[in-house]
Amino acid sequence: MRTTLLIGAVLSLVAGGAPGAEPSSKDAKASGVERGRYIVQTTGCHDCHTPWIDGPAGPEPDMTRALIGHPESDGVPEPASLSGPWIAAVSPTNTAWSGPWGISFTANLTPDPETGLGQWTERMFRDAIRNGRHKGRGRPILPPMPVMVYKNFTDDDLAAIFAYLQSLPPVRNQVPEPVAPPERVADGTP
Amino acid sequence: MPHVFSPYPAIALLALLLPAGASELPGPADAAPDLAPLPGRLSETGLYEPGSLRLSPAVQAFTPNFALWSDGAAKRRWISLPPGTAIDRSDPAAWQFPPGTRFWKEFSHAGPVETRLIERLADGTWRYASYVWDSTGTEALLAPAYGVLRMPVSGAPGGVYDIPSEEDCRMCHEGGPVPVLGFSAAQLSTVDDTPMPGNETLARDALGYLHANCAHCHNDRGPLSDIDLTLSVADGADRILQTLVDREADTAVQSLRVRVVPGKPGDSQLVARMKSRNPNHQMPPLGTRVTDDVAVALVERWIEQLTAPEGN
Ligand code: HEC
Ligand code: HEC
Ligand code: HEC
Repeated sequence: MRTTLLIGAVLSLVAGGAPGAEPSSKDAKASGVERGRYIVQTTGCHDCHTPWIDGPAGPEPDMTRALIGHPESDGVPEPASLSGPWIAAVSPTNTAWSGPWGISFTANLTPDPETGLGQWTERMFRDAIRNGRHKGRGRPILPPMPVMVYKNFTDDDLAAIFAYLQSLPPVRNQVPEPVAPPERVADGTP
Repeated sequence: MPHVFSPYPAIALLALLLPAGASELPGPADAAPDLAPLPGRLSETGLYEPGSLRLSPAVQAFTPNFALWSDGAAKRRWISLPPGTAIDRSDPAAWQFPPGTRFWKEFSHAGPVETRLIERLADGTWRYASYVWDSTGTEALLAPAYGVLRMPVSGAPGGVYDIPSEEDCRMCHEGGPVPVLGFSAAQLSTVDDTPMPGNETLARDALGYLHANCAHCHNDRGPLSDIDLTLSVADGADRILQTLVDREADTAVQSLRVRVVPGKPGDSQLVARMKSRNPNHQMPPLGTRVTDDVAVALVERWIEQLTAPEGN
């Protein structure tokens, strides 16, 4: 009997709190988007996820294609063949990378449902960055995506980044799948 | 009701056999003793009788119906519950374990390589650890939380063995309704009651394998729920088939686009992913370097005898 009363009291507290909580959570969301924009602009996402062009003042990210990842129209280049002390190479767009891990292409971070993060949940995004795994639980996310750095973001920062990315206009751009290095494909079945 | 093992008589002894490390814990109950750091040695976790490698009478061995493939490693598993507690089995899809529950799993290639520990803490959260055995097989020491890549182990395929990181543990263990994967209704019941389509034994073996090896990620929760490989005691295989048969995958793998084509294992992406050890394609994506050929053959035979669903 006593427990029932207590539970009743707690429930009414919760119910009482709910309507008041809503506007403040909306505010939180808006400020999250603003904060997300700030973090994205100051921690390098555009360096790799926005294709670079030759601008009037030299190479720069093409902000008309902000965060669309490796342009689909650029296709899948051959892996770089390097000599000397070099270990990796990058395309002029800064979106395709060739190294010991094979070839990686930066992801489309706009919320397009089929080719971007449109179907991602915040949890998936957080898990992907924290675990360094594709979609949070899949294959390892390849270099040079700096997961070792970004896994130090707080949950709030990651939520803000995700909220900002989801607020962008969706852009259809099917980034190619990564290509494994020849020896990894050869030692198992492809 | 599925047959379920009952550890209770043994459990009463647990109080007498507190792990050696327990004496260093920060004090009485209000100090939340199980939030103490993980013991540095396996012998301090309560698996063995103090000062020996004899199993503690407080632990109970168990074997799930369907095992996870771990590149051919042999495995043994144990559970212990705090005295006077019980498992709440009211939801067959998500048994609830009391705080203080511990599970161990030992992996061997020739000799023991590692023993993993999962423990439920007083605050309801779970923690994960791995203990790596010394070459004489007398003690195992706590592995770093980031794991050990390509540890030399004779007897392991290619002579190397990976200890998963704590994140890896969570990736497999925390994608479903409960983190305990091999101690569940589906894994301990006599599966004969589960309704199965087609060739009963073959379907049960194949779907059981997929349950144990895939359903911790591919279940009805979260973003991967579009493909659900959970073998449910209540519902049998319907949902599994719905999410697989003639369903298009997100991306092509070796130009195969359909998850499972009835009668055609060679055209089914699921099989290609199981066979592959291309790091970008392989399923499961972690915990294995070597294809499970026996399981691939099993799943191929199962797909061969599937017929297209009616109304197609
Ligand atoms: C130095 C280059 C670089 C920077 C800087 C960078 N990324 Fe990436 N990112 C990549 C590459 C390359 C991939 C593709 C990796 C792959 O396919 O495994 C990627 C993939 C991703 C993915 C997809 C992960 C998945 O599960 O497939 C997300 C999300 C992402 N990046 C977010 C970000 C965010 C947010 C930032 C800024 C905070 C950022 N990246 C900055 C290179 C970069
Ligand atoms: C690739 C996925 C995967 C990874 C990574 C993984 N596990 Fe498991 N684990 C399983 C599955 C599936 C089972 C049940 C089937 C079996 O035991 O064969 C299991 C069983 C266990 C058990 C027995 C209790 C239970 O849940 O059935 C323990 C203890 C355990 N794992 C500990 C760990 C720890 C600690 C780590 C990290 C160091 C870890 N596991 C990493 C998949 C995984
Ligand atoms: C540790 C988590 C994990 C485990 C275990 C796992 N998968 Fe996956 N699986 C993923 C993720 C993440 C994706 C989506 C990303 C990708 O395509 O790599 C995926 C994608 C797939 C796909 C493609 C689905 C589609 O529609 O695109 C298939 C088929 C698949 N898995 C089958 C399996 C099978 C069969 C097993 C067990 C033998 C398995 N998976 C075990 C995480 C897992």
